[in-house]
Amino acid sequence: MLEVEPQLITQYVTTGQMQIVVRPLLQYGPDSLLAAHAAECAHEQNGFIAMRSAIYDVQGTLYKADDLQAALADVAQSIALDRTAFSACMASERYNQALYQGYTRATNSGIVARPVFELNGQRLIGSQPLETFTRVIDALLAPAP
Amino acid sequence: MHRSISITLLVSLSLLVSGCASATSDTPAPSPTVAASTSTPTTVAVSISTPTTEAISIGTSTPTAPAPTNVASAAPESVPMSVDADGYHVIGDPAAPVVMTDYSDYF
Repeated sequence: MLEVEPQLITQYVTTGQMQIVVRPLLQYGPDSLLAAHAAECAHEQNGFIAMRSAIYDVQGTLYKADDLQAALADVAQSIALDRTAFSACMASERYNQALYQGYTRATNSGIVARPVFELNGQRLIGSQPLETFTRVIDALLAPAP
Repeated sequence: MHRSISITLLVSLSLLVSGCASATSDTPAPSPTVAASTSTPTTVAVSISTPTTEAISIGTSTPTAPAPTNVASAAPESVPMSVDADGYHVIGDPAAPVVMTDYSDYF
């Protein structure tokens, strides 16, 4: 997720002009996998977006957590998810394979480090200012001459 | 007569000289004190520099979290959410003309 995502959502997503496809990378190995898995488990309770935002909110704390799984359960509980159901989902590891496959597809397509954005196939590597996104998106939305 | 006067003068002079020598040896020699006081700041300077070096090494060895590249954004509840055919989450109208694929890590 990028710093300018809120502005892009307000400007382009809520107006129906753009959709954002979330493809998690697992650059930090098992910790990244746990966090991505937590977002999937939250989705089972319709909490994907809330969990994604909450994880980014406490990213630094989670990174230093001694027990990441317990810390993620705390995060889930903080956004009013059912902790027992969430923990059961985490213990099942049922999304691990799909997450690994997605990561492999990303790396096979040349994406080796986050963040990377593709706008209708046009790749932007690294964090970008809002102006860069709006310039590219506006060009894509402009009627063909 | 002259001989006895000379002897008396010699004895007096020798007594006077020995008295002065004795008085001089009782006076505390200032030089060692001065030397000690001048060496003290040197010792302090060394002890100050040691913790400074340790502090630097502690600071650089502290693990650092990944640089925060993002901040949370809660999509408005009115924004539709779905999962595409490949199982990826989609924020917004899946029929929207611009597709932004966001490859990122939670850490």
